[in-house]
Amino acid sequence: MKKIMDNFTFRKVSQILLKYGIYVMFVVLCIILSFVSPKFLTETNIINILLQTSIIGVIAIGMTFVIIAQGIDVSVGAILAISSGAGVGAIKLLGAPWWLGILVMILIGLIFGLLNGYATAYLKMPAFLVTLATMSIGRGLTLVLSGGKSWFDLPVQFKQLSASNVGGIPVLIILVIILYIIGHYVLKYTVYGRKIYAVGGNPEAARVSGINVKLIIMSTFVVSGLISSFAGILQTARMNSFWASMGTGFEFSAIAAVVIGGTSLSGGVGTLGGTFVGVLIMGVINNALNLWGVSANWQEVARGAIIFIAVMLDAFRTKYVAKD
Amino acid sequence: MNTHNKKEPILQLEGICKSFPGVQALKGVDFSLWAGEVRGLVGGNGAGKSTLMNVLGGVINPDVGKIIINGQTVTIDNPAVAEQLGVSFIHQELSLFENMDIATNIFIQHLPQHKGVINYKKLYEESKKILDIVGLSHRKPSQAVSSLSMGERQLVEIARCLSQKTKILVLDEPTSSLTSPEIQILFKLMRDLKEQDVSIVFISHRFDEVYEICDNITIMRDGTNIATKPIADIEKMEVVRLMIGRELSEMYDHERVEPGKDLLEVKNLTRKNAFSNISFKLRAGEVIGLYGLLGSGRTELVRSIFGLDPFDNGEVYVEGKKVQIHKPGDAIKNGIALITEDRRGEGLVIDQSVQSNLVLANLSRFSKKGIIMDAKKEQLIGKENINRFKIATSNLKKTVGFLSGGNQQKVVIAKWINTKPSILILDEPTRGIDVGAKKEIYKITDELLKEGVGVFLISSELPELLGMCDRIIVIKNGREVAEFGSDEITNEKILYAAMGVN
Repeated sequence: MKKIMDNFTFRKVSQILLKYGIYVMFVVLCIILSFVSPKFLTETNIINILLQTSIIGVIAIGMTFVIIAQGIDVSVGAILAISSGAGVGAIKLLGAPWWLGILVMILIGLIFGLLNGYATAYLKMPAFLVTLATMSIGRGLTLVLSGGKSWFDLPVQFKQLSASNVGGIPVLIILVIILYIIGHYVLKYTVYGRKIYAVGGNPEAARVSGINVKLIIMSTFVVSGLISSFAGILQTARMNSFWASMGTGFEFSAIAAVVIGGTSLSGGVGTLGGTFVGVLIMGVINNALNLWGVSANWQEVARGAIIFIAVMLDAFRTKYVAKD
Repeated sequence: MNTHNKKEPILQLEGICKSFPGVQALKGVDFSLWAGEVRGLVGGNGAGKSTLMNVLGGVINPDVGKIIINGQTVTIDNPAVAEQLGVSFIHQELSLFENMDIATNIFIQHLPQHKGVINYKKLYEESKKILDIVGLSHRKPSQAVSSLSMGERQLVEIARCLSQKTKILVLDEPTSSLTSPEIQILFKLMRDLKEQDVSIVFISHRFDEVYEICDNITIMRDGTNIATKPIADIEKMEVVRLMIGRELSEMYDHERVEPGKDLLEVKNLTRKNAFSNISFKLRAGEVIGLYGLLGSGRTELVRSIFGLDPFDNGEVYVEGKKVQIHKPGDAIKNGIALITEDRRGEGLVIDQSVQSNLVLANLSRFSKKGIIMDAKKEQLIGKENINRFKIATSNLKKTVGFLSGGNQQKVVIAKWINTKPSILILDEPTRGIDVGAKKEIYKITDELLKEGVGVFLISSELPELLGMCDRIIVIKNGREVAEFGSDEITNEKILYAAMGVN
């Protein structure tokens, strides 16, 4: 009897930890860091962290949608680059006005999203390989388009977007937070969001329940594509330039942030709140490693280890659910 | 059996019990098998045949009971142990590696090798010998299993058993995917094995085959061994009677409702290789039963009506109007609800809450203008569902996977009632759930009938069909073979029709 009770409490505690562990971990991490490094909790540093993580944070929103619906999208970094390249290219080479450049960027994101989504949902191609292919296509096209060159001196509107702030908080950060609020609302409170969770949780049951499973899967890739091109706009504005290798490795960081944030790679489970914290954890750890002067090579190792642990926790979570 | 009396049986199962959540599948079964005997094992779905054999095969561990092989008490806790003891098991669903060649499949557990390197010459030679024996001499050992027909694959499975020193061979519905020449090859093989003193357990729904090949027959019902007799001493009719056994219990206090208007009419519905020319008419307040054995096409039929699978020919009318149903959404719009037989696979999103599952089939009804979910409406219907269907859950937020099977099934039914259907299709609605939950599901069905819903009930449980239905359609190999009105329905008639016994 005692053993059963112990088992029960153990399970309960571990379930709570698995559910909220990410938030606890984040708070503990921040407390430790603020003791270790006095610079950590300064306003400049916090804004610095938020700015550094903002672009990945935006991409991670679309990634959350895709992963909840049992997909994966590794083309996000490439979509960021090709949409920025096409938009800035239109401005620089064809003399298009700034708003047309932005429209082009969004359009490119839409096209890539549709392609990823259609191939995955309707042609039943594996999402990982589809997006790996479109990643390569995107990267290649970026180089073709720009000839490997960078472009600087963009229309003044880009600079305004990144330089302005409201009450000391950069507009960029405010935009990201607004996006998170919208995304959270869509996932949690709309019919569309409910359908994404159902499709990710059990596509067969969703289909029997009259949900258009293919359309929902495709739509998540479209969201991811659009949001990646939006991230492209923000990145271009923030650096006031385009360069061919921008966004490299962002898919990796975004997927990591989503998984650290508790979204299950097997689909159906996850929240944008979790992703938000996941992004912050990644940012805070990067920041700490920088503050301590850890070399870039070791930072790479540390990032890999964090992701390893996050995926391991995800596997445990799946096991717990499977047991009951 | 008399000839065996001097010897000890090769296998004795004593007092085997096994419970699954909500059901006791085996209730103290005794079963013995003699060397060189072919034993037919028959019983309705859920009688416990497969569970009993899975205990012998080490797939399922019994709660209580003793297994004695050759006079030795043994513990078979996994399939590998069974294998070592000479027990081979051929399952209903084949377990071959389709991507590999025939020879590798036959010898997968003991590939001829030298220091870890496979001796392909020997592998193919040995395989060739075995393939000749099982009547697959026209196939090369190096051929991929995926290129074989279902029947040939079955023979490869048997070849795999022959490559081992099998003493007891269990065949679970082996003929359901075979053509008649293949069946004859199988029977010849079985007779050869018998000559070599191998004992065979032959599970089958097909009486003709049981009578052709078996020496003795064991009849199971409700997790017990009802009778074991030499096949020569028992008539087919008697076997059927023993299989059904119980009288109609008071579980079904179904009140017949005077049928109203036509709700659903199906005309000449045909889907190649599944069912052909099925026609019926369902009226308000009426229950039509559909009975058929495994593989008869009953599930395929309702999947097509519901738009889950396409059909090739035929028409569907709802309330007199011809409708085009291409996807489940179309069916739902036309007031059709389908409770599928696979609760976990198709009924529920198992990791999500009771609440989200309850509203899943009609999200727009619980939303504001079809866009934003309405939490109040959701909670209201959730509470109403829990009260009406007596769903035992601590709260609406509970993950549906943590509920018992019966309560999960009630969630599925409630989900569909929330679409306000006029036509309710139930595919095995009470499979694997306890008696109490069953009763409640019948009660809910009765209430719906009074509200003017028409019910189409598929079930393998004859008492359920007899207790609930106004008419019963029997299908066999995708064709309607009989229809009975309520006054002429008896267990025997239905079973005879479904099995083709005259």
